[in-house]
Amino acid sequence: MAINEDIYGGVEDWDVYCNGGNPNPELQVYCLRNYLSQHTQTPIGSPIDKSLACSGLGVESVFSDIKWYYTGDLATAGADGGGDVTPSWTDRRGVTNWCFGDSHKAYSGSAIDYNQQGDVIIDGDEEVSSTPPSFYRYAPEPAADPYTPSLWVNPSNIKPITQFSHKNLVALIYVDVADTLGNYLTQHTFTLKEYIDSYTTTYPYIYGVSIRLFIDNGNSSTIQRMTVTSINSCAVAPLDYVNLPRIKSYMYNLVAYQSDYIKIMGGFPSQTGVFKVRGSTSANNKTYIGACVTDAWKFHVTSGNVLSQESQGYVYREYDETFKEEVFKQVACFGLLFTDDVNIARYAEITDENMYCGILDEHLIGHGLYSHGEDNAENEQIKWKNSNDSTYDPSYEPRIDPNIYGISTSFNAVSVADGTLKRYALDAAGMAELGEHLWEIIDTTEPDALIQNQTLTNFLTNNPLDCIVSVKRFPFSDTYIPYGSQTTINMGKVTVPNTTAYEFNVDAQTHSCGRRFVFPIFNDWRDYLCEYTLVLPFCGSVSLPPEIVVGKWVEIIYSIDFITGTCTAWVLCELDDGSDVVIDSACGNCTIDIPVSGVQMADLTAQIYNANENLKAMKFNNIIDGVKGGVSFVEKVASGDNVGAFTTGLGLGQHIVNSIHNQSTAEWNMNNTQVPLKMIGASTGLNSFQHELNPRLIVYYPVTVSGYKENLYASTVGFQCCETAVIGTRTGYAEINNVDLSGFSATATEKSMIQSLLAGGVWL
Amino acid sequence: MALTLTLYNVTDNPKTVSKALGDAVHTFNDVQPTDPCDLLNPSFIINYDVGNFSANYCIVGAPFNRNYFITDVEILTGGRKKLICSVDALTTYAAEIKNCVGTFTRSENPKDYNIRDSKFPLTGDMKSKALLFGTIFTADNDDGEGLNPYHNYILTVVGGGT
Repeated sequence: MAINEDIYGGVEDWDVYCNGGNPNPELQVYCLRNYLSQHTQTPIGSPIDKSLACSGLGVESVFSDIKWYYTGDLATAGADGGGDVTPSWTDRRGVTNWCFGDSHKAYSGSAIDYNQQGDVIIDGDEEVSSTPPSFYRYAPEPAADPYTPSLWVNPSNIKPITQFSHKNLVALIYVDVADTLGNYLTQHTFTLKEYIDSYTTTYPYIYGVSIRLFIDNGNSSTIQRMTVTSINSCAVAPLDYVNLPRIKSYMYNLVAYQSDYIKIMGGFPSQTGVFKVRGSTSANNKTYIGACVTDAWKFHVTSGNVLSQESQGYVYREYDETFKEEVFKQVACFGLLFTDDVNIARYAEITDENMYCGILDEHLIGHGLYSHGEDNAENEQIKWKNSNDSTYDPSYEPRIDPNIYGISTSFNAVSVADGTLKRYALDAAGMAELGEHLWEIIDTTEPDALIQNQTLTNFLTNNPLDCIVSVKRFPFSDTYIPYGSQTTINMGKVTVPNTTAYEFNVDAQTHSCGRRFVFPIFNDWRDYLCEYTLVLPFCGSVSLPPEIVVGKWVEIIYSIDFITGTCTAWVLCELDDGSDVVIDSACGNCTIDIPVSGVQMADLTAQIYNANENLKAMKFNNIIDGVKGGVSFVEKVASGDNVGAFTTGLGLGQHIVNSIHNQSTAEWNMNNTQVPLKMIGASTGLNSFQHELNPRLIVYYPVTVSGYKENLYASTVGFQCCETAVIGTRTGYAEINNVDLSGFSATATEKSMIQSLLAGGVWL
Repeated sequence: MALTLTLYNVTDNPKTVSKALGDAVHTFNDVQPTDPCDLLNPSFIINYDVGNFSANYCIVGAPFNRNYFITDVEILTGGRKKLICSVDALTTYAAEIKNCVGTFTRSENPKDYNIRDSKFPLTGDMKSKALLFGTIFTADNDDGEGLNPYHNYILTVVGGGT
């Protein structure tokens, strides 16, 4: 919206900056000269008129997400006597109205109580303190103690920037840094480019980020732009209420400082200033403001008097590779042209590749997006003559999306209790040894040796084969088989001798097959007609939606289950919020089952033992019975009992025959003990090993007709688009619908004719 | 009522908004419209005895103040010709049209490559290519030299006894 001249006056009431300013008055920077008596006064406690705002700072801006730190939250002091605290309060808004403000004397003394002292709440009802609060407003009239006009402070020095031209103003980014965490009082200032190129190691601690404004005043023959002079203490002045409990005040002049470096991130107003917002004396717990959105920023309570809660603190961040993008996003929220390079700020055109411009949405709110190069000229604010052309509505406040986005997928380390299983890793030679040893016992163990060793332990044994759950071959080199120390193989109660094996205790692991960038083939809408099929070894294939993967990084991660041999292939894609998330998955089995066969040793042992004992028993018993039988028969015959003796003899004889028969059977059983055999498992999975083991992304893309010529197509058919614009801003072939033909006199028939012709296609 | 009528030979596409008219072929200052005469589809009688009449366009002054296509010419006696015209609304109001706002659905300039274009000439064919990823798998049992075998056989047994 255009500035409210009833309150802020017109051009004749404004001061021009920059050595007289650009010859074109529309391209100059103006600030309010602040004649006290000439304009409508904004009453104390009333909202300030927000027509100063030509755009809004979105929810992504630090000014819409102010952190408040309370030094009393430090529970225990760290090694240096101080420590970090987290925000005790966050003031979050859907949008923040703002303007630049300049003041010769932004603060007085060493403390800035921009709210009140004591419990004074400036609403005209509850003031109890006799000491007037000294806060500053970017308003035509100053404000201090509402009841003591003579104590109104700095009335002539408060100067909001009333008008500037986005196409003639470039913000150059600076950082305040120091070499150690505690050395925040000795800061060095560099442009962002200088700092990242040369000083991140020397000065890894960042305490603040600022911008300086460069303008073309049309007066220099050597430099296109120079800094906006005459700005002595410039600041971003939020124009909205602070939403703190018990406080009703304005955020204006929040960050004013005696400098033309406009603070936009870090501590306010500076790392050394105390910006108290509650509490009655300096001895009370202090609350500090920090403009720092990401968790990379911290608030450090300094050592000294921590326990008496008189401590101060400062905001800081350590440099990492995310810093530059974080800063760019914050500057972009202002919708200004900006750069990190002083040479670009001074000399470059606004369409230079290293010149950037914050993008404003349809409500003229900046969300951290930015363009660069030739795209800068497409931004609406660059087409304005100056900020007064803005149609920004400061009363519009978007809803805040409370959700947190941008968190990447993570994988869990999984293990299971392994008391019921034991696993071993073997190579091919070790497997051959194992196979032999499972047959070896029958070859080398004499039956008599088995029979001789009748100890209790031998009675408590098992078939080793029965202990084998599985043997699986995994398609990995030793890089992905984390085996341990060499050991012997125990199968139940049996130790398999002379087999080289290694402990293996890992249950599951994940490994990446790498990332690839899905490069657009056409770099236009045809990319979204393409089909993307990802072939995954052992798991089959998945189709990837082109709308998600084109122009993005895709990564494949395999999760391997070493117990069952199953594998899951996870397909991750980098989303627009910067996170990597799983967009698809497929499962399969990546092992070959190896069948194992051998002798069931315990069964064999038992059979041999029993057969031999049975034989011995038969032999021993047959002899005794034969003798007995013989004695009885003789006795009967001697007694004259012919029939009984005969019968008995017959019975005895039969007994002898049976015994002889049983002995023969036992001998046969002993000599013909069957070898109990067993096979574990069946061979599976070989075919999957034969397939190529690299994941492969297959792209199917459409084919343009061979005679297609872009310039001829454009001039006769035109490209599909959907943009509302003034017709005269385009040239060449166009089809235009919903034309507003008001503003000139033609017959209704002619206007209908024009509508129809424009919709059917014309050449402009 | 005498009208001013200027003849042109225009080669631009009739659907061009701002046509390049070129040099005037002839200007008449005392042209009579036919009676009756429609504003949008008028006829004019001119005295123009030329062997090769090539004009296809004319601008008529007040009170018509419009551009017209000459859609037909009738040869009359005495070297007169009757011009049968239809209004060219696009060029007549070219400046006004260009100040209006409308929604462009197709455009030559600037090119927009982001909206799906149903008129774009694509064949029914699809071509293909493949992008290889890295891998964590191998079908080998050793590093190829035979000296460093892989311990990739995992034997699982029950219990943990001694």
